[in-house]
Amino acid sequence: MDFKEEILKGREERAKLINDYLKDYSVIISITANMPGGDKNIYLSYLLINAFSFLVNETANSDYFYSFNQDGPFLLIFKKNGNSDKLKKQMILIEENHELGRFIDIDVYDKYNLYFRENKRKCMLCNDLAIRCMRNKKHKEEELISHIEKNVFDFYSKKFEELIDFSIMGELNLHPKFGLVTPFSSGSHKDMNYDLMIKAKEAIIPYYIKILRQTLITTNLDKDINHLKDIGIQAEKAMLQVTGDINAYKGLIYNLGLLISAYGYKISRYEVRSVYEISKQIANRLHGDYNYESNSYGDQAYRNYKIRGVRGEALSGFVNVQKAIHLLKDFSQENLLITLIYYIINIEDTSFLKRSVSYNKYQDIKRKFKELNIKNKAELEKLNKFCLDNNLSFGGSADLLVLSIFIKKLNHYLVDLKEKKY
Amino acid sequence: MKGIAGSKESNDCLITIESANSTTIEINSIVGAFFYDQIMETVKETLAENNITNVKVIVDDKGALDYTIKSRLLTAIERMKEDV
Repeated sequence: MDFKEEILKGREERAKLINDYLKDYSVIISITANMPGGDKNIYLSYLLINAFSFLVNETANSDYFYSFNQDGPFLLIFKKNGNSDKLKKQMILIEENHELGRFIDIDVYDKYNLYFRENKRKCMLCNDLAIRCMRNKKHKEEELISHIEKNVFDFYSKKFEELIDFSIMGELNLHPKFGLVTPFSSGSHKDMNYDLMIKAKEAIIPYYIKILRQTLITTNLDKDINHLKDIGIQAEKAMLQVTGDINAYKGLIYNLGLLISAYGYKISRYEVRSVYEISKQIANRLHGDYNYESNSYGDQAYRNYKIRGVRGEALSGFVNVQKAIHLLKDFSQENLLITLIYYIINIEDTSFLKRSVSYNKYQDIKRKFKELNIKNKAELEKLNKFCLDNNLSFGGSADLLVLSIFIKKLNHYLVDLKEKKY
Repeated sequence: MKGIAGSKESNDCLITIESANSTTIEINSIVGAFFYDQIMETVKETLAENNITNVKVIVDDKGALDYTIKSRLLTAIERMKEDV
C-alpha cells in the first residue's frame, strides 16, 4: 500500500473511532493538524496538536484521547453533554482567531452530524481558495511546510519567552523573602540588587529559547545532550558578562533549562510521559553518573550528609515541585509565599546549608519555617529579620518557585497530555 | 449489495455505492460550484476502468482531491463486492 493509501486508511479509522465513542459521549471535538505532504507525523503536526491542547481545559473537566496513526496525531475531547451548535461556533472562532488556527482542523461531532465549517478556507499562502490551490498544485509542498514551520516556531518562542519572563519576575517581585533579592531589598546578597537580577534575566532568556528550539527538532536526546549543555554554558557566560561576574541565576539556568528541554521534547513527538518523567531522564543523562568527589561545597555536603542539593531534585524528576504545584492555586503573594516556604522546608539546598554554618542550625532554621504562621505579619517580619541578620538565603527554593510559576502558567496553554483521561 | 468508504472529515469524502437497475451518480460537494465536473469525471473514469455498471453512487465530498475520491470509490466497490 503506498503512503497515500495509508493516510486515507488512517483517516477512515479515526472516523470509525469517533463513531464508536459517540455511543458513550454526546459531543466529540476532534483536533487534527492541517499538514500538507506525505508525512503526517512530522514534528510540526505534534506541535500544532499541543498548541491546541488548551481546549481540554476550556471545555472543563473533559475526558480525552490522544493518539496517532498514518494520518498523523489527533486529540479527541469528549463531552457527556453539551450544546454542539454552541461548541462549533466557539471552535470556528478559535480557528479564525488563533495564530495557528489556519494550520489546524477542529471538528465537532454529535450523534447526528459533523459540523462543517461553512466558510471555505483560504489557502495559507495566497488569497485563493485552498482547494483550488491544492487541486492545481499551485504551491510546492516545501514552501507550505516552511510557512507552517516559521509560524509554529514564532508562536512557541514568543509564548515561552513571555512565560519565562513572567515566572522569573513573579519570584523576584515577591517581598519579603528571607534574604533573597526583592524590589525593595538586596537581602543577604551584598553583591546583588533588583536591577542586576533583571539584567541577568534578560541575558539568559534567549538561551532558553535556543534550548527550546533544539529540543523541538531533536531526533536523539542522547546525541544532543552535549549541545544542550553547551547552550547552558553560553547562557551562564552571557549572564556573568552583564552582571560583572555575579552568579545571579546559575541554578535557574540549569533547572529551568532542564524543564524547558523536557517540554520541548514532549510537545514535538508522540510522547505520553509527563514532563517530570522526561526531565528526570534528561537529568540522569546529564549527570546520573556524577561522583561527588570534588572539593566543592556541594560535593562535601553530599559526602557528609547525603544531601544532593539542586542536582538531587532534578534527578528525582522534580518530586517536590510535583507536590508543591498544588499549593500554588493562583499567583497571589500569599500563595507564592506558601509555595516558597514549602521548598525551604522540604528540599535539600546546599547553598542554604553553607550559609547556616552547621547542619544542626540548618535543621533549626527549617523548623522555624515549619512553625511560621504566615498570616501573622509580625511573625513573618520577625523571621525575615532573623534571616537577614544571619545572612541566610534560599536560592534553590527560589529557583523551584520560578519553575512552579512557569508550569502552572504554561498549563493554561499547554496541557501535559497523557494517552487518555477518563 | 452496498459498500461505504471514507469519512466526512475535511479534505475527505464519504462514498456510498450500491447495485441498481441503471447507473446514477449523485455528487454533494462543498466545492461543487467549482469542481463538480472534475469530481464527476473522476467517478465515471474509475467506474469504467473497473467495468462497473448498474450502480448508484453517492459522493459526499468535503474537499477531497481526485486521488482521494478515486481511492475511496475503489474501496467502496471492494466492500460492495464483499457485501452479500
